Amino acid sequence: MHPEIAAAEFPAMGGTIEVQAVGCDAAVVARVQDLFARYEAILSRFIPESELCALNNGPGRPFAASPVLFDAVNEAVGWACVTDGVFDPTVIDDLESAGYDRPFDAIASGGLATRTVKRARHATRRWRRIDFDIERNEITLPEGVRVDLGGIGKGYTVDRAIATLGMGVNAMVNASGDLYAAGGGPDGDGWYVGVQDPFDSARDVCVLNVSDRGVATSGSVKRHWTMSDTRYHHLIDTRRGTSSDSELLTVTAIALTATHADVLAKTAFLLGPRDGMRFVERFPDAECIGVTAKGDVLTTTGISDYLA
Amino acid sequence: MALRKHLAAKLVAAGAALASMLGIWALVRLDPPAPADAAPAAAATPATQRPAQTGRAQASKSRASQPVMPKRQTRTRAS
Repeated sequence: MHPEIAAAEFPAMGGTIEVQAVGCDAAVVARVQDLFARYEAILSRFIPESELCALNNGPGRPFAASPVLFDAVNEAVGWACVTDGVFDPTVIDDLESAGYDRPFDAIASGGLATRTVKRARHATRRWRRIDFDIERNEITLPEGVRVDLGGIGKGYTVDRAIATLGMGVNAMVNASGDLYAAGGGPDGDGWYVGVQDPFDSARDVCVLNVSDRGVATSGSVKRHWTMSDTRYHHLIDTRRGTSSDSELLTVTAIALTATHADVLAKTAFLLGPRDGMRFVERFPDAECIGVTAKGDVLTTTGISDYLA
Repeated sequence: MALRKHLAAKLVAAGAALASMLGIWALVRLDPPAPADAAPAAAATPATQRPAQTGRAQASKSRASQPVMPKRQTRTRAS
């Protein structure tokens, strides 16, 4: 007989958040929902009143950040260092030049049909010039630099949601595909996570069996649009300043946190099949699965540990 | 006399045949076939798709031969 599972879905961060908590009551789900609402209000670049927008509106001077914003920006810049700038939280200009200047729902409903392309001057490694004052919780953005936390926002919030549930929790929080699975799952044998096939959304490429791991998928199959007869998507190749032309359609990463999985999935996608897999191999606790436009499935060597 | 012996032999043979049939029936009753839902686990559980691996970092396999998937409780996808 299965233990009681508190389960719910609710909208947040431009998608659907799914919570399953084994042996918990509905109050746990309510805490997660409240946390997502608070973090979205802080971290979104599409909410004009968000703290992130306030930070971006005041470059060149110290900004007294809340602990959540300070930590999230600090973590994003940290991952930019780790990936040598392949993952870059300062690509707003490039995203907006590509047309991603509003929530994706507005883009998907045809909001770009009459827009003209305005290319911003492309710059790289802007994240290196962001200054953090740990004593005062202050962030100073250089002139002309804005931060976008869309690359880690969902994974970051998933990790914090799990943390609020406490040690030893048996729960799963899934933010539109970026998730953390804590504990042994409903049957005690881990959580079973389907990896959606980018060619057929009704099918899975495989099913993962994970426990105390983050899982995230990035790809160009969902958030893409056409502007001036050119196809764009939201994963920016920082070397060229526009949508990546990666041979990969999707990359799914498994790591110790949802944030790490989120970053690895995006970085591997941007690096492409060969370099992407090699990059993930550098992390002993991480694995990934990539699906190419030709339909080939690529994996890192330890993936069998996670296949159901 | 010969007819009586012949009929007796026929009777014995028929009895033996009947006993044999009853024996087989009894054996069948004692050892009924397993119901379909009690098939061995190995046969009931579909093979898991495991992407082939040919080297430290690279591995590839066509998507064409995907078997039925085991249970899942959630999904990851590009968002």
